[in-house]
Amino acid sequence: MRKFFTLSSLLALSLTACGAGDNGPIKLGMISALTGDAAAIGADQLSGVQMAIAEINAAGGVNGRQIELIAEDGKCAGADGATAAQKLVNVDKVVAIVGGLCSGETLAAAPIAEAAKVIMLSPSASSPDITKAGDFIFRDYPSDAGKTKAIAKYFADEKYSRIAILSENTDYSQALRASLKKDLPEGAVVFDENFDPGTKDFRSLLGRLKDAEYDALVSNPNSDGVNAVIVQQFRELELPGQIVGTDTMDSVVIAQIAGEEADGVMLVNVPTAGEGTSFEADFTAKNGDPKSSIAWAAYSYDAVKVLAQAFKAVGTDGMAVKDYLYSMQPYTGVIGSFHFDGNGDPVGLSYVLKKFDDGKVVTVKPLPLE
Amino acid sequence: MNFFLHIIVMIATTVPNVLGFNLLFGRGKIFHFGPLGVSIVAAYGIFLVTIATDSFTLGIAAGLLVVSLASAFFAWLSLRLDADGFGVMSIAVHLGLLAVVLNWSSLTRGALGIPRIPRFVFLDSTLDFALFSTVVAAVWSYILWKIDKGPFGRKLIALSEHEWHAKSLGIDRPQVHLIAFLLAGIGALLSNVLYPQYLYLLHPSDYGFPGFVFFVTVVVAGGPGSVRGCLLSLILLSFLREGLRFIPMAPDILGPLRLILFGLILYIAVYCRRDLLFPKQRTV
Repeated sequence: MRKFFTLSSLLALSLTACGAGDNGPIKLGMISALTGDAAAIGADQLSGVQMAIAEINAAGGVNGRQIELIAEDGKCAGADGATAAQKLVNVDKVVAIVGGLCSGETLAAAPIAEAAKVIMLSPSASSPDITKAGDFIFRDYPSDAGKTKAIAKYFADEKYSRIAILSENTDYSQALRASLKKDLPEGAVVFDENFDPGTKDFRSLLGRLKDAEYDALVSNPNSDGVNAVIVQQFRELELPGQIVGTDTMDSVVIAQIAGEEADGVMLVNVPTAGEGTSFEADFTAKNGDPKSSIAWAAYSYDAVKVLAQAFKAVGTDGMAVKDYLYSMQPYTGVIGSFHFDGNGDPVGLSYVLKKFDDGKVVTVKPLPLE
Repeated sequence: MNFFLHIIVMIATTVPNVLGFNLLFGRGKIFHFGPLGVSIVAAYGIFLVTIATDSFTLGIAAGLLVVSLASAFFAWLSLRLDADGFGVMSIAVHLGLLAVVLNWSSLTRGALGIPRIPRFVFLDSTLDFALFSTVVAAVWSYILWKIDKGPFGRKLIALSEHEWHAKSLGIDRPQVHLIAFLLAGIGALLSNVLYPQYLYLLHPSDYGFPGFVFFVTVVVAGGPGSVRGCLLSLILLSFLREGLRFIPMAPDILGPLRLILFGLILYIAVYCRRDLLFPKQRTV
């Protein structure tokens, strides 16, 4: 046993110690969920980042320097997010980090990046808490605070005054739920239920909706697959009212699973997140179908492109990149045209109302925010 | 260096909790599968009160109170139920407590967690944390080692080996169980007063079942009941887990590979330690 401990200790310490890097390529870090419940989203994010880096490197790199990706598994958990950030910042000496995937891992990694003056740009963390996470913390994924204002506007336009909300118990869905409740008029929420991650049978929860008088149901899970099941079971129970979703409803998977029952479902999202574009065609040609949604790849792809643009303009010094990002002109990427506000949140990503029509997602009208 | 210090912090903040669990599961052979349930109670007890009152003293006092109550409840359950039944019940209590935290969002912020957790004024850098948490871990390890080697440890062993005969020798099972659970609870308190401070974040995802699996792996690999073995296996497994990040492999392969490797370690450890984990009851 003593030999086992000695040999294993040597192996572990040597593995820990062999992380030295060189200064040749630009080292770009990434924190995402490569394992765990959100691994499908993490896989799409990784593919999006790899695709952007491959394109940049093929075009000669950034000022002649190639970009090297170092991706770490944050598992959508605080402890793993912090460990991943510590390694990327202090061992790999990355110049910036794309990530994290979830708000929890992003919030845990943020103080480490902030202290080291390393830019973090999340392609998916939506919690309003990220807004105050630090000067070096950015995201190109809209905060729930903006998205829910657009949803509230849609409800006001349609005179939907009684709203039901069905949310998954994850930080993504709960942040959206909290923000939506804040933006809706007092007393508008007549049904507000949470369900555990992994739930697939919503019949009893939806059955209780029959007793509630409501105009619209906000379906608010963490993934498109669960959204499809909610839509299916909602129709199966012949419930009245409008189903409304957000990002996770903006997926062809809904129509694939729910079939024609998806028709008529409305959703509020950014105008495009890569669906039906040449980006999607290129992505599919290289990686096959997205594991979760093309949107996660698109946000990650744009995050890398924005960072590369900053490196090209001002080099890789953290302070200089930070100042560049705060003052940059709108960047037009796959997800639209955006720049950053004083908190590192994206500005300029507008919202539109979309609808499932004959198995496809079509844009109905813009939802401009004042 | 900072990464190394970070791993030290992660290990040192886990030590009190794991050694408490080792006392119950490893030494006492009590199938307690809910140590992270007590951790949830400790963490939320401490920091909800600390944030509300702006006083760490009150926060820690509140944490101590709720941890004592939770530990006493687990001890009571362990006396009322058979070993298997208690195992199942302790999982249920853990999941129940997690459900409360996730759903009482007006108090706990639910799945969003609580960001910007305040820190002790003397804990600023990673080095501060590494030093302080190592001292706490060392003191707690020594205390538990002394307890384990003393009369209390022998009583716990006697109860785990043959309860009737231990009772006939005058060992008070309810008292021993209560003390053991309270000691484990204090371990949970020590770990959870430091860990969320270090992350600046208190998040329910850190108290799920995967965390418990790591505890079991540490105790089983280190030798159930052995304070020194658990410390060694915790250090080794933590460095191994994080050291695997440095293997030059594609990230989409490395992530799952680390999980598979840990599953393999747990399997081998349980297989090698099966006689210690599930000992044949002594016949007299």
